[in-house]
Amino acid sequence: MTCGKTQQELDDFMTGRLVPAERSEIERHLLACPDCRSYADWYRDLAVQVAALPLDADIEIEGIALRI
Amino acid sequence: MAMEPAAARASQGAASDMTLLVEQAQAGDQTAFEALYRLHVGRVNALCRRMLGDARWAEDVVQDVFVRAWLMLGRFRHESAFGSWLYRLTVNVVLLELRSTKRRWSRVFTCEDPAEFEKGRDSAAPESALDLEKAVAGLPEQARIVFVLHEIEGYQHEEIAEMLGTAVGTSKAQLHRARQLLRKRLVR
Repeated sequence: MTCGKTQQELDDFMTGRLVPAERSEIERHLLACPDCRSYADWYRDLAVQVAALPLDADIEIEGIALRI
Repeated sequence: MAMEPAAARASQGAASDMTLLVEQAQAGDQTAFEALYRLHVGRVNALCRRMLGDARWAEDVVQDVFVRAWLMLGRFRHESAFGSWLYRLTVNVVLLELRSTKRRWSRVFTCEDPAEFEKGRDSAAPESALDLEKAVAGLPEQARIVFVLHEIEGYQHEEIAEMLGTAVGTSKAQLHRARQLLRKRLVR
């Protein structure tokens, strides 16, 4: 398991979408690779920040409504 | 966790109100459609803005989304929530916009070359929503679209691949690219 593959599969790893063998491979790699552990920590923090982003963005409703 | 009875009734009431509004709009009631517009325009605008990386361009596309929604409302079969149908329509309209125009080449926020992206790096603290929004807006187009659809809108790679007409692996690779670029941009 390479660093690139591990990082690319992190999302599926965290959301439980991998089969047990793949999951074990990534767990082993994370235990052995500080760079990928750091990446995983950052990705977890990013997910928290993304979840906090507003779903709405202000817009001039009247202006566009009139055009429609 | 199960909802309290009052909360469940309120939720059901909101859903039935939405269904009624949609049915009225489908029957040609422009006031009902305007109500739907007001309920959803903020979310549609946010989605357009993030996918396009450009607020002004997004406003034009938002208008296009609602014009198309009005025209296509008869095809909505109530098999999903109206919001889900509308947001999927929004994604399709944005993708059509990106494919059918060359405007993107003159836009200032996007850059296809990661080296160019790196030039915008600064040492500011990354932990704010504004920094994150700016960093996402500055991603290369394909990486940005996949990031927004997957990370913010919650679509799965299979759905994104279908929308973009690419392989699932391509969607995963673009998401990985987006994260790598964001990390370089946001981490000191």
